[in-house]
Amino acid sequence: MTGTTRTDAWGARRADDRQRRRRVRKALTIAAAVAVMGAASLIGGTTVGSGVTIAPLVTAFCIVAVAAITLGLGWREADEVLRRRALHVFAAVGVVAIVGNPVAEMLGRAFHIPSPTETLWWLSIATGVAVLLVQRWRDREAG
Amino acid sequence: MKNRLKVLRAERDWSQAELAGRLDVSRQAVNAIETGKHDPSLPLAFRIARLFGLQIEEVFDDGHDKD
Repeated sequence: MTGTTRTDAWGARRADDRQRRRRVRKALTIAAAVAVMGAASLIGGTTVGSGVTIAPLVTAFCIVAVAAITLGLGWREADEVLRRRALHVFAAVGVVAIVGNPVAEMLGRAFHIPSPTETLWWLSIATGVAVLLVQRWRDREAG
Repeated sequence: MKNRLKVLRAERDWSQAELAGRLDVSRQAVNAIETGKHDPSLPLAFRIARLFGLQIEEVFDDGHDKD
């Protein structure tokens, strides 16, 4: 046998460190999201010279920035299996958003739904979460 | 693709987390490879074989016999 025993299980410690980094990243993401929402509410009434309220622009920029940084860090940290799972989620979200857009527009006009695209946005997010959960559940079943 | 990862890991009394740490991948990745749900990339397959001191074909079996 070339390996070592569990008494010098440096691999498990390394795996724990990896898990801890993921938890810290998740906590920081939540903190950043809360901070963005808080900052947006604080500058809610600020307007620029032309009378345009800048809060939506700043909020949108911050949301995109937080999402991009979080995804970037997560992607760097992930291995090929986690990246494949993430790609499946992104693909499902994208397909629902693209295919569902004209359908949502038509249904919105037919049934007088106030904001069909927003409904579609939530539907695509829900699809992504569902795909993620199904993948995790299937892997757990196999394990 | 079939593989002997579970057997090799058991021979060394390593948990999935231990093996994952040594390969610098997630425990989910080790589980997915062991159960055949994921075929590892060539670099990861080399890393696995090297960790156990074996050739790739001694760890992974694509079902084709050698000529």
